[in-house]
Parts: sequence; C-alpha cells; structure tokens
Amino acid sequence: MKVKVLSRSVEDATRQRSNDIHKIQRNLDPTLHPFEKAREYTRALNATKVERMFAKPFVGALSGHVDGVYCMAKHPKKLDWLVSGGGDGDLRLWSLSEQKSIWSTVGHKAMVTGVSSFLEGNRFLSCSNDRTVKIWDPTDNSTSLPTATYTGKNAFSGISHHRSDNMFATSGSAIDIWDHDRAEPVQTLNWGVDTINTVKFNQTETSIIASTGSDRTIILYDLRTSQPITKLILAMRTNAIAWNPMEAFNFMAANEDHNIYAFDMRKMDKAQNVLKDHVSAVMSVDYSPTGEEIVTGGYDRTIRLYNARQGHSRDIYHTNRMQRVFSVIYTMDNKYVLSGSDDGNVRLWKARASEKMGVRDYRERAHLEYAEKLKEKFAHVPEIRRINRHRNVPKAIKTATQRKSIMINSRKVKEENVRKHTKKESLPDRIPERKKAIVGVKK
Amino acid sequence: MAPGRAGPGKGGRGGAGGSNNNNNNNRKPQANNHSRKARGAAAAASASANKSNKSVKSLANVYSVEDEDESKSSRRRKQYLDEVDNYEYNVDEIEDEDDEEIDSDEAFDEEDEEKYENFQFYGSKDAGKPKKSKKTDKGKGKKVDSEDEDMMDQSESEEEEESEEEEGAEYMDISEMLDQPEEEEVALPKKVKLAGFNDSESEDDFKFGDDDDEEEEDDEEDEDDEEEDEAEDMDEDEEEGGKDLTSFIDSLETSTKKRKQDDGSASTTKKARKNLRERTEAYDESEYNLQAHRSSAAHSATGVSNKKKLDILDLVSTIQNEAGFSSLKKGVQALESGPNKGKSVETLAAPLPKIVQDRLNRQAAYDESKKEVSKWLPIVQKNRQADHLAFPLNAPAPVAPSNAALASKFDASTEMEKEVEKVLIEGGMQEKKLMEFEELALNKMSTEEVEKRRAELRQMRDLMFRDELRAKRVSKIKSKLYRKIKKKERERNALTEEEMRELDPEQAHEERLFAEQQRAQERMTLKHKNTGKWAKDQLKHGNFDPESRQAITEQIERGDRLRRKIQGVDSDEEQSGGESEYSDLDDDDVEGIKNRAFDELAAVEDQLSKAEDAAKEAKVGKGVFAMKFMQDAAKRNKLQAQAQAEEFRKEMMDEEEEAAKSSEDEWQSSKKGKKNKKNVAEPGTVIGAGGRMVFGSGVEVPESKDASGKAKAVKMNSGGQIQKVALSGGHSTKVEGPVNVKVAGMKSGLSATAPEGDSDDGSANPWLKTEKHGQGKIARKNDKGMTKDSSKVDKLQAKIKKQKAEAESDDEVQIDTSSFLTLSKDNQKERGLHKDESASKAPSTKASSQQAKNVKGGAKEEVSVANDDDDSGDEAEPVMVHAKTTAALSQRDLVARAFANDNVVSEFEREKMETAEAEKPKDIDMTLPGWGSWGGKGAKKKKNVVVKKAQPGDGVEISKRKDAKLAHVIINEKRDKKAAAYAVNKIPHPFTSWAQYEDSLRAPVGKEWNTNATFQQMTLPRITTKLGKIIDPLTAPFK
Repeated sequence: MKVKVLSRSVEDATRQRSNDIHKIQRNLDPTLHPFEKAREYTRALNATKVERMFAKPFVGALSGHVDGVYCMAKHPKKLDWLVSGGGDGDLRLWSLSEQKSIWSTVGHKAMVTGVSSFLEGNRFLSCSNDRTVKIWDPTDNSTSLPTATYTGKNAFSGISHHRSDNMFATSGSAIDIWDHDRAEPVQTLNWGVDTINTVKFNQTETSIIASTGSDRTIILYDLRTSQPITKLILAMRTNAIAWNPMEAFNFMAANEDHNIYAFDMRKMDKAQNVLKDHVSAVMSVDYSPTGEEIVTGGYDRTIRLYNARQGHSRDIYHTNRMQRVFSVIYTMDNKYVLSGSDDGNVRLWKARASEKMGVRDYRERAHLEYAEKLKEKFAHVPEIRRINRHRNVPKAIKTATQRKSIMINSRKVKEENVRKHTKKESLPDRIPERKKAIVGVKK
Repeated sequence: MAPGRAGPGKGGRGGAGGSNNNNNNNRKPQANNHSRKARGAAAAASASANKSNKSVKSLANVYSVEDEDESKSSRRRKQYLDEVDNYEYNVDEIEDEDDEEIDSDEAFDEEDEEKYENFQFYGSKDAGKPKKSKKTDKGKGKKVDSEDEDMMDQSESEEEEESEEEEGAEYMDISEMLDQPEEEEVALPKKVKLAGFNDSESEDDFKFGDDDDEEEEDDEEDEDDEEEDEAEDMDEDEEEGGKDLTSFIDSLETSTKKRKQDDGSASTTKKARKNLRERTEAYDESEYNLQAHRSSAAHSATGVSNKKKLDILDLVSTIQNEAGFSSLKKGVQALESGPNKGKSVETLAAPLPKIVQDRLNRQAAYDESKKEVSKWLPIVQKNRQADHLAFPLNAPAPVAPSNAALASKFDASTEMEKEVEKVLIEGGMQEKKLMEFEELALNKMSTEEVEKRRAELRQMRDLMFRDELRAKRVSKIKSKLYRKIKKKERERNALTEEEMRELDPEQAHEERLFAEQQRAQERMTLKHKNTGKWAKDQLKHGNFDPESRQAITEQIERGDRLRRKIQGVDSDEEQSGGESEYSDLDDDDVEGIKNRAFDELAAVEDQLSKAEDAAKEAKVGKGVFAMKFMQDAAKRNKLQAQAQAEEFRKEMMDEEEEAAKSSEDEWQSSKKGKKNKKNVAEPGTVIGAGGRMVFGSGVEVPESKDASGKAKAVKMNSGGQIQKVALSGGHSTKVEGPVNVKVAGMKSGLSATAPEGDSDDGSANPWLKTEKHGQGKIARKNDKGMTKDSSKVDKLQAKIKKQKAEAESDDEVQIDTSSFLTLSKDNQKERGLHKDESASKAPSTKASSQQAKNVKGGAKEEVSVANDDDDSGDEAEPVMVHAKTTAALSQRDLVARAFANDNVVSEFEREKMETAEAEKPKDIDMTLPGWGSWGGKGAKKKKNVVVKKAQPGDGVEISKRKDAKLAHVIINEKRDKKAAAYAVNKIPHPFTSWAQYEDSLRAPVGKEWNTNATFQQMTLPRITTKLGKIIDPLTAPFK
C-alpha cells in the first residue's frame, strides 16, 4: 500500500542568504479567498481599534523653566536640539534624545519673546522685551555671555532668521532687518503704526517676510524691493504665522478667533482653508517639514494636529498639567511635535499618536501600511469613522466645544431667518466661510 | 495713465483724494501753488537749465488767459483736450517755447465758484469739509514746497513769455492740429483708475470714462472750470509721476500758447505782472546781472516785459567771436537750435507724495513678488498631485553599478572564482589578452583594411541594432489580426511536408515528430474540447463579451483542426462516437449500426439470462422480488422480451435494405438507446435523459404488454419540432410544484387509474400530444417515454423503426387542445378521483380510453407513474387531460389558461397590506392579566392599563410608506440595524457619486487577492519619511 504524505524539502523553505525574500506560497485563486470585502472591512475595523488602543502620543516633558515657555526654536540641521525661552528671561537648550537641558542661562532681564536658530554653527538668537537681541553660542563653555548683543529702541516681540544669509528680522514697533555684523538695523520696514507681534521669514522664498500686527493685520514684506508688499486685515488678531516649507506662497495664520487660516500670498482676499476645532485663541502654529500637516497650540490648553488641506483636526493632545500652549514646533524629521506652555514645561509628543517608533522590518512595515490603507479605504463607514474620531478630551474642552457649536448653529439659524424674511432684491450675498474673517486687503 | 482723463471731473466729492485747491479767500496763491506744485521738483531740478523754467512759468500762465472770445476758445478747448491726448504721444514735437501760462485767477472765477462749491480740490484747506487726515497732511506739505517755486517763477515768467512769442512763427498752425486724426485719442485708455487711491471710498472717484469728455464738450460755459480741472489733473499727475505727466503738461501748455497766438492779444492780460515793469533798481555789475541782450531786445520791441532772463547766449556770446572753443561752440549750437530744441530740457516729474509713492511702490513690489513666488507653482502642483512623495525630496538616488564597473573591480576571492580565472587565463580569454590580440591583428593590416573592417563592423552593428529595434517594435504589437496574418504568412511560406521530405528527410522526420508531440500535448490538455471549467462557465453563464466568445470559438476551431489532423494522419478506421457525429452517415454506417444492433441483441439476451439468475438469487432473499407474483411477472416479462427479440431480429433481416436510410437525429437517438441499454445494466443509475433514479433493485424485468405497447409508441417518435414543444412543456412543469402531486399520487391510489407509460407522457405534456398518421402514439423526443420498464429491445427497435419512419414519411406534428379539460383541484386528495372522472369525461377520445384501459403494473410501477406524474404534476393549476381532437391553440393561450385561476395580484395586495399593517406604529398593551391584581371572587378589574404608546420613530404610517403610491412594489421599511452599521449615509467628500465610492471599495487590497507587486504598490503610503532624516525646506532649482 502506498501512503501519500506531504513532503516539503527544507531547502525550498529556507533562505540561502539573509537578503533573500521569504518565499510564501500563495494561491491567488479567488474562490479560495471569498468575502474579500467583509474580511477587509473587519481588518480595517480592527486596525482602527488597535490604532486607538496604541495611541499614546506623550513622550515626555522637559522641565527646567521656572516661568512659562513662550518661544521655542528648532535647529535646521540638528534634530536633537531645541532652544526655548522663558518668561523670566531664561534661555535653555535641550537635548531631545536625552530629554534634558544641556545648556541654560538667564539671558535677558525681561521675558524672552523670541528665539531663532540658524544654519551656521551652533549659535542661536534671542530677543526680549528688554530691548535687546542676543546671539548665543552654547558650545562655547568659556563664557556665559552672549556672542553679540544688539540693542533696539523698543521692546522686541519676535525674531526670525534668514534661511541662509547672516541676516535676521525682528519685530516690535516696526520690522527691523539686522545684519550680524552691524549694530544698527540695516533696514526698517514699516506700514502703519501699531505694534507688530511676530515676524517670520519664508524659508523657501527667502526674501519674503510675514508679520502680524496687533491691529489685526498680516503684513508681507519683500526684501528684494525692501518694502512691505501687502497688508491683510482680519476680523481678529493673528497670533502666529507659519510658512509652508514646501509651498513657497502658502502660509498659516493662527488667529484669535479660534481658527487657523491658510493663505496664499498671491491671493490674499480669501483664505485658502479655514481650520477649525480649537475652542479658544490659537497661540502658535507650525508646519510639518513635509508641508502636509500643521500643529497648533491653543489658549484652550490643547495641541491640535491638522492635515493642512482639511478643515478639522485629526488629533488633539492634552495632559492634565499642561497649561496654555504658547509655542509649538514640528521636528525636522516629521516624527515629533514639541509644545511649550505656560506651566514651564516643554513637552515632546509623537506626531502620529499610535506610531511605533524605531526601525521596523519589512513585514511589519508592510502590515502597517496595509492597515493604514484599509483604514483609509473604509474610513467613511460609520463604525470605523466613529472609532477613529473618538477622543477623550478634558471636560472643559468638551463643554466648550458643545457650547460653541450651539452658538454657531444659532447664529446660522438666525442668519437664515433673516434671509427668509428679507426681500429678494435686498438679500445680501452669502459670504463664503473663507472670506468671513477677512476685513480687507490694503495695498 | 492718461493725464488728460485723470481730472476729477465729476468726482468732486473725493476731490482728487484731497483738497488742495481754491476757495474764495486764498484763491490766487492757491492757484499758483498748485499749478507750480505740479512742477515742484522739475523747477528745482532745472535750476541749471534756464529753459525748463520757462515751462514752469508757462504753466502758471495757463490760467491768465483772458477768455474774450468765449465761444471760440471753448470750441478750441474741446480740441485741446483732444490735442492733449494727441500730444501725449508726441512729446518730442512740442517745443519748449510753446509753453504758456494761464492765470488761475481768471481760470476759476466766481461763477465757477458756485458751480464747484461742493468740490473739494486737491490740497484745499477748507476745514469745514470732511477730509482724510493723510490727504490734508499731504496738501500742507505741498504748499510749503510750492511757495518757494512761486517766488522764483514770478520773477521770471514775463520775460519768458515774450521770448516764446517771438518764435511763434515756427509753430504748427492750430488748424493743422485740429486736423489731427482722432485715432490717437482712441489709443488712450478709456477708463483710468489711479492706482494710488484704493481706499474703497475714493475708488469710484478716480474712474474716468468717456462721460467726462462728453460732458466737457456739452457745456461750453464750463471751460474755465475745466481749466481748473486740468490744473487739478496735474495735481493728480504728480501722483502718477513719470514722463506722462511732463508730456501732458507740456502739451497743455503748448495748446494754451497756441490759443493765445490766435487771439493775438497775449500782452493785454498780464495785470499781475505789470507791477514788475515798474521796477527801476539798477543792477550791480556782476555775473548775476548780465544783460540778456537778445531777449531784452525782443521784449522791449513788444513791450511786454522788462524782465531779463539769462539765456545761454548771454553767457557764451563772447566766445563766439573768439578763436578756439570750437567744441564748446558746437555744443552751444546744439543746445540752442535744431528741431528738437525742447528735448534736451525736458523737465523731471515732481516726486509724488510719499504715501502715494509708497503705495505705488508696494503694488509694483507685490506684483513682482507674486511673479517671483509663482515660479514655484509647477513644483507645488507636481508635489500635490504626486501619488507618492519620499522625503527628503532631494535625496540623491542610489547609483546602480554598471557591469563594466563591477567587472573592473572584480577580484577573484573564492576558490571557484580563482579556478575559473585560472582557466580563463590558460585559455587566453582574459580581457586584456583579447584586447591585445585585436590590436595585434589590427597592426598587421593596412590602414585601408582596418578602415574597411571598421566600416563593416559598424555596419553590422548598425544593422543589428536596427533589427533589434524592429523586433522589439514588432513584438509589442498586440493586434490579433496582425498575428493571425503573420501566422498565415508563416504557414504559407513554410515548406510542405513532402517538400521537406525531399529536401531533408531527417529534418522532416524531426518536424513530424515535433508536430506529433504537439498534437499529443494538445489532446492531453483537452483545451479544445470546451470541457474546461472556464469554457463551461462561459457557456453556462452566457458570457457574451466578444473576447471570451472568440476564445471559445477558437477552442472549438482548434478541436476541429485537431480532429481533422488526426484523421488525416492516422487513417485508422476506429473513430470515436463523438467524431462520427461530424461525419456524414452513409450506407456503411447503417450497416455498422445494424451489426451493432445484433451484437447488442446478443448482449441483451445474455443479460436476460443473467437477470434470470439474479431473480433466482433474489428468491433467496426477502422483499418484493421474492414474492411469487413478482416472480411470475418477471418470468412473463422475460418471455416477452425474448419473443420481442426474436421478432425484432426477423424484422431486421427483412428490412435490411430499407434501413440504409437514416438521419442524424435518428443516429443520435440510437446513441441514446445505446446509452440506455448500458444504463439498464447498472442498478440504481440514471436512465435516459429524464434523469430519474431507478428505485428498487437493479431492474431486471419489465417486459410486459405495455412495454411492447411502449415500444410501438416509441416507434412513432419524431424529431426536432417536438423536442421544442417538449422543452416548453418541461418549463411549465417546472413552475408547478411537483412534490405534492407525488404524494397525492401515492395516496389516492392513482396507480389504479392513471395510465402508465405512454399515458405518462400525456400527462407530462398534456397539450403536446402529437398525432401521427392516425396512430395515437406518444411521441417524445427525449427518452422520457422509455421508462425503466421498457426494455432495451424496445429501445433498439424504436430506434431502427424510427429511422424507417423518418425515411418513409414527413412528420406532421399537431397539438391537440380541444381535448384538454380543466380540472379545479382544490383538494388534492380528490385529485385521483378527478382524474378518473376527467378521463371518463373525455369519451370522444379513443386514446384516453385506451390509456385508461392500459393501466397495469405493480406497486413499483405505481411509483414510477407517480414520478412521471411529477412532470405534469401541479397543485393549484388545472390539470390538462388530453383528448384527441385536431384544433390547435397557441402556446401563449395555453399558458394563459394554465394560470387562469391563479390570483397572484390579489395575493400580492394582501401581502402588501399585511406588511404595511405590521410595520405601522402600534400601541402595545403592556398589562399582564392577573399580575399585580387580586384574583378570586369579587376581584375588580385592574383600572390602570399600561399601554406603551407608539413612539414617533417607531414604524411607518401606511400613508407615508415609500411604496404607498407604487402598486406593484413592496418596499421594506424596516431599518436593519446590522446593515446600518455598514451603510454610509452620504457620499463621502472626494467622491461625487455612489458608484464612484462603491468602486473605490470594490477592489480588495490584501495579499490574498493581489500579487506582491500590486500589493506593495497599493499600500504604499502617499508620504514616506525616513527616521532621523532632516527634511529641509524646498530649495529652488531655478535660482
């Protein structure tokens, strides 16, 4: 009698070299794999659940500042470095990998309003309400004094360094353009009289600067022609600006009215996108280095992450102890997010809450990518949508959100009612959401 | 921008964005102010060149023109305005001396004052009128500026005028000017918007259209005002800046001057200046007090003014008489004379107010920046549309090393490599050696040879390359037609076998072997037989897309070809049954059939004897077959069969010649007969196309009278037409429920009454009885009629008789309908009875009565009858009982009759009502009787009855149902919660239709359904980043 047995040679199943792929015998006959949609749906559902289960974005808090952290800056070439400025004039340099402060000094007599690092060397700049701008070199252990000090006539409210040149811009009563080697500003740009809150160099189109004023304006300047080029007036004040590192003409403006507005500097009469969800003023905003996402810090004590081209946040980060967030930063590798808040801590978060950090082998990566794809594919199915959207938020935020939505709804209802009872001839045009906040563009 | 149009005209409200002009109190200085202000910078700049001063002054004089001949001048004014446009484009032609002045005093009189009461002129300081603070500031600044200029100008103006007067002869005649074509005016932008003033309020004020011009033409009285307007124009022109302004002013002055010339009264109106004439101071002798001899002479002649003005000649006249300085003289000449005298002294525009200038600058800068930034657009768009972005974007791609690079670096390290290398060296196959060899070979040749060889090589290479390209191109052609044609061509070109044999027998043999192998392979694969899973599936599901159809036909063709080939190659007489279908029948075949028939007969007899043995064996066992009557019956059957066989044999012998004729159909039926015969041998298998199981043991037997009758019936079978009808009949039976009938048949002892065999067929297809030559036999294409009790002999007989019959007669098939009777069959139990009755109710038919008589057989046969009845069996439908008449009815009518009493509609309506009732909101009585209340004697009924009221969301009102107005539909209104979990409420954002969204979900992504490559491609995220890699902002490739 002949007995049939399954026989597999070991050689067939073993790799000869470590580089060889694992041979997996698969039969693609569709009859062997029925119910593909149902199975994939289940996988998507599980992947979504698993994602929410593993969503632990908080990596660590960097404590050291005594006062609140009001400004931070990343180094363009060093992933590990972070500079932060405190409310008491304290300046700190952090090593993110070690999660500790590696250098600190009380650099200013007043609140540090802005820090900025630049390509060349290990130095960075800080400006303060004490009317000084200082350049620091943390690697120079011989002295705790700044490498250079520039004194202005008024307090400085913000600072931004040119991407490549030895040039930086400060804001205050006006925009001052400084050269490293000169004690006086090389140039002063002014349009209007009000205080300017922040200034930001465009990192791509490097001669363009954006600033926000306390008179609710956003002003753009061009250094090639040495003058302001356009002024946008919004309904409320803009607190921060971030230029898109991949799209030279786009920037985000974090506004006091809880929204973030995306602008195209060529078409300022209309926002390109309105990003909602914060329930209080948005204090800071930063683009991810890929230009696809933004992170915002709000006065509502939360950090939110948005897809730059969508209207609502994809995630919200918060902790019990975190106070109002005054500065946020996306790290240069697109993996982490940093926040500096009123409570004096710098916090390190993952940019994607459930992402597994570290090296992944091929199969794991393939699996995760597949899961990601499935989640995307079935994202609109109610169950998956619900799970994916669900977030536990502090009660304050929840109630505020509810209240806000009620307010917005009632406003809408009212507007509709007014429209209903207005003559057709005198019916005003509907103002698109993207234009609502815009008062006008000055030339 | 066109200065001519830029005047505030109607736009008095915003008043040139400012109000710098006249009011009653300080009219004159103001007028001077603003007229000069227009030239402010120009005047300053022209300190070195005297001639420019003239123009400045002349501008002031524009307003001093007395309008004596109002109508005339106004007419001209119109023209001037036109000319203004004109001159804008002819700056070069205007000569300096054309400039003139007009006094603003006269220009703007009281009459105008009234008219322009509400106007706010640029720079006016009227505090009563609302102004923008910025503008006011600007106005003030202006005034201060212009005062200086005033002082300078006043002293110089008169002299200048005179000098201009002098040269009047050179000027173009006004009439010529008027004749200037208007097209130049057309060239002017019609609507001008001052870029500087973009505040929403003032914006309108700066839009000037043709209306302004027309208006000017209309009211001639307003000319003075318009002078004023023009002056204001100039104010605005300051904002505009540039050449345009200058040219405009020049032209304006020129035209004024012209008018003055015409009037011929230029000297009469200079009241203000006359004071100056009375000055009598002696001049100090100094370089500042040089006599302007030339101009003074002229002036004294006309008596206009004593005021002297330095001319270039005054300064350099002394040189003229001296030797040397030739170059200087030339220079002076150039300055002094020539057609383009005015060109060299063109004035510069006054700087615009800073705020306006800034605004203009900003706009220009903004446009520039926009342009600059827009250079990024293609990159941005590309990135946005990219399916995949791997950051960092500009990372250098890893370089794939070329073969040459690898070879050059190769160093034999392992044993084997070393060995191979050694062998190569020994064989002289080293790269270096080969090169050397080549070189040596080349060395030996002469240069011509070398070149020739090279050329050859080159040509070869070239040809090879081209051929390669061609092959690649051809191989990419997908057209099937092309391939087909190619193939045919190849075949045509190929040598035939014989030719091949002649040429190269060995090769031919090989080829043939190869061909054989191919054929064998093809036979093995069975692809051509259409029996593959795929082909079956295609056929079954009627997949009619052209590709698959073509594939199927191709397969069939291949099969054909193969068969033909086989026949061609092997001349074997043995052909499979399947093949015989394709070959025409001839006498030999019939002969063959007969032979076979005899063989089969023998076999049948053999079997009969075997069956006898089996019966004997069965005796030993128990059961029905062991019973005596069964055995008797079996014996009888056997005897009959034997008799039949004998009979048949005889017949066969007699009719041998006749049997020559046959047809395909008959052939087929014979085949089937054969099959059946075989089937009989195996107990419990399927017999015939009816596909019914044989119940009981392996069938020995049934040879009976009715079997013979059956045989006869079969004899009369006929072909195609009937088959069709039979099929449709089969269809109708399918609709009806067979199961119950079976039961009924069993229960009601149908066996007693129901005919079997041929009568079966009658009930199976009640309306399809065929009549053939007066013989009331049942025709049935499929061997349904061949029930298990009909013997093989019968079948065989039937087969051959059928052949004969076919040959003898053309068949006429008629459907008998008149004899159909409808029976209402509410009670199934009565069915048998009814049938009986119906049978007896059809007295007119011989056949039916015969059928009734025909009834025979044991229990087993009853069962079979019942089974057969299944076909015709129906529960709710009337039973058609066959009676023999000749009237024919159409199939449709038959079907209509068949479903006559079948009230589907009312049933549907009832069902719909029920559903609606069930789904409508209902109150539910929740009270439980006896629960919570006292029982027993005297117990009161509970008062508060708990009723659960229908909630608003519960159920659907009947009137609100979706199918309320749809008669033929029931729409399920129940919300399926489980299904809802998977249902998307509205079309998700990027999609525009459900179909689109569904499409996106359709294709599975997983590895189970995709190849690895596809899987990777599909799951690749849009953005990938590298851990720990810095992603720099974009750097411009265009910088």
